[in-house]
Amino acid sequence: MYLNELGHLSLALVMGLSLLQVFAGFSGASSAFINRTALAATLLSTFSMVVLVIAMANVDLSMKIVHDTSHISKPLFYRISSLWAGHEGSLMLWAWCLILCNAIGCFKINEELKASYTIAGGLLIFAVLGFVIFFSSPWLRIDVASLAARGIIVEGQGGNPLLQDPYLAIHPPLLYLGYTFLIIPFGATIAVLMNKGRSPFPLTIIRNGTIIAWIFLTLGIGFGSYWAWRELGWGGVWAWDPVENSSLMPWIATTALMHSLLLTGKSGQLKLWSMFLAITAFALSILGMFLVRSGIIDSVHSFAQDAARGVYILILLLFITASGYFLLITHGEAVKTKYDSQKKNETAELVSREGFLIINNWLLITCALIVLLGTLYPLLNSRVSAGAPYFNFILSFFMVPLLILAAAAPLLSWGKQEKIDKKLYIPPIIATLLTILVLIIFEKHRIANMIGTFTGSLVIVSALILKGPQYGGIGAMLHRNGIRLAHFGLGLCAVSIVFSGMNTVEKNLVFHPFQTHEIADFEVKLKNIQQYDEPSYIATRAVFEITQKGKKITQNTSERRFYKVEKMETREVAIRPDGMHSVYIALGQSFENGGTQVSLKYIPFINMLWGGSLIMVLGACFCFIGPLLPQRENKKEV
Amino acid sequence: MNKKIFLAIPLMGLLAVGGILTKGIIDSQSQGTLSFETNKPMPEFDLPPIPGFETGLAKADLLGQVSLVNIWGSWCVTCEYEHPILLELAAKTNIPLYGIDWREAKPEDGSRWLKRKGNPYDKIGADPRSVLAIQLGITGAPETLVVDKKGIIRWHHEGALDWDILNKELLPLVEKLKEEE
Repeated sequence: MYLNELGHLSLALVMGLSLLQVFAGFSGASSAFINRTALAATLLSTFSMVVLVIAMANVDLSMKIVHDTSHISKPLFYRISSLWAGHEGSLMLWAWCLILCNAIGCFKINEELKASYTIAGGLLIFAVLGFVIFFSSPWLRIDVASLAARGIIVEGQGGNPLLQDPYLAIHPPLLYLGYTFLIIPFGATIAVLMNKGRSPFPLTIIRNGTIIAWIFLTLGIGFGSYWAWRELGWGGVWAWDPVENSSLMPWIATTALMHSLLLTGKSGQLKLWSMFLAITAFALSILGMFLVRSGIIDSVHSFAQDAARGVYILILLLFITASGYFLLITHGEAVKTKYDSQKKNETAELVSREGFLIINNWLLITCALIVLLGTLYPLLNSRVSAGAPYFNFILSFFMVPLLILAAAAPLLSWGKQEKIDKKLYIPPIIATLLTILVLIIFEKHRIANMIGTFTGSLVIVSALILKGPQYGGIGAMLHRNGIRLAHFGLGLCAVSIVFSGMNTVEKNLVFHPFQTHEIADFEVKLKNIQQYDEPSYIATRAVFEITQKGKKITQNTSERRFYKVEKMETREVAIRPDGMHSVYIALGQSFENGGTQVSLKYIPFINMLWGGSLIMVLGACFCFIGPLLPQRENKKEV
Repeated sequence: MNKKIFLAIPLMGLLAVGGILTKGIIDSQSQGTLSFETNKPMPEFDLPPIPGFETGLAKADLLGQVSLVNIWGSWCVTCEYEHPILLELAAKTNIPLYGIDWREAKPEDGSRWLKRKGNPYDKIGADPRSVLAIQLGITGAPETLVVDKKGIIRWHHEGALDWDILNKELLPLVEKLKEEE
């Protein structure tokens, strides 16, 4: 079978095609030709990807990537998802997503910008594929016969059983799509800068690319942290691990970009800033790949250290970002002036929607900088690492004003406020009442609880009372409600983060069979504990009954598994999944006297975080679809 | 003109980030390689056993065969990552694997850890006060040495082993050293 070699070859062809695209861009080839090369690159790279997926599905152990990451005993779904469990496979997936997104951008971008966009995208893909093919090839073979001759049983190295979780399996592809969709705003920005403002500002495509990227990033981060919560066994959703941070930074930058584009679209302001953010967001996504893949920062996620790979991505990162910023310095003004001549309103009132959007952007980008600093700090001083306390403490100072802005900005009108809208008084009043209510209900009067409740409910209430537009048809209506939904979800997330963080109760206890321990308002009883021998693991399975003031609520199973192939232990924690309270039960060691160590955690409101995130994503979807529908009012495009 | 200076800030920030990352790459490559010498004989040592084991580990145990010496500790997180690989190595090959249980806070911590996770080692010596570790020039755990038949350290690896290193470097080297007199 030469299928694998064909897959390898077709990827090499894509590399050639990307170079062809660069030449086509320079030589002024027809738009149809450029589209055809983009389509061909998509098809060939997809073929390449399918070949790898087939190799994974068939557990073709002569492929190094399969041998390293998979195992014959794995179910089909995880055999395939093993592809992105290792370094080579993840980069291949990333490169493939990049090619797809680049092609989408290529099809959708305005005719005037197509040539420049193709040059930028083609160069980028050429460089990335050079990396994949020469430094991180997923096509390496291993000599199975010689391994077998040395008495080594060849059945795959299995990979990490922690990775056998559906949420984990799908979060890298989602995250990579998020990263790679950022190539569209990035490429379009580079293209408009290269054209020195001779062509119209490609607002629509930048906006659409940004929102889709944001949706995927949010989903990827959300599923990733949901996995951490379910599987990792430490009962947290976010550890400020360098790899988590590296996905958070592009997310923050994308969030900022989404908001600055609102203003750029409305009045043409913040154009330089939006272009800066588009470049930065993409650069941060590559920085994320670098941090994860070079292994220079210790992390649960990082893989083997390889200097050559690190150096290559670093050069790629510096080259891309530096050329982006350089273009911004040299041609940025030209683009701005060209576009400004068609718009009047340039200065922003402080208290107005645009004023608040600008402050929001400054705050967001400062947050991104803080996360960047905290993530890179261990490199400067290896004895110090910035942990959760650093991030939680500093970022909470930014979260409060950000939430207040998120609550107020949509209620304000554009431009100078003629008169103060009475609606503006409603959210603070309701939020204050809710805070007082929380003071009465909860015994712990922590200041953070109150601030969290106040700001969170401020956002929620203001999202609820936001009135739809009186004009603009269904598209504008969707867009408006999208903003409303997204902010509503944000408020839920904020309340959830503050409450779950401040009110968690944690106990490490020893349970004997039929013993009951209390946590918060709940009683947890160990009903049964047994050992099981499953095909791929040995499990200690314990059944717990959770009651609240004597009333039975639910029965849950918590498991500790020892995977035979990987010789690794994992924990399947029991979480009471319904309602606003979570009781988290993770099994520890068993002792000879029949006792079992159990880590019990009571965490309130954590489910609201997942709900809130999904609502935000739904809101973003509305915002994406809205402007695509026919508008009754004047088009914002220039 | 002012605008241009303003616009140059991101570029300067990028330079700073690039500098930090370059330093990171350089550091990650050069960690500790200065202090450790290969091709020198293993120092004389006779380490006591860890609780629950009868024998410790002495230099005499290493002589006359090609062996692996792995420095670990129950406190070491990376050792937990490496452990499954050592277990697999011990099960699949017959290369003697010796452990040095380094810097345990309580003597029984190491034995408890092995009881929980399985024991890949043929013999284990305790080095709670870094007596041997300092002579060797150990900077962190885990580290693994290949010691030849004459007791000379021929290869050294810092950090967790993986199958890539084992297949590419360690196992071929052991095969080669076995041929030597």
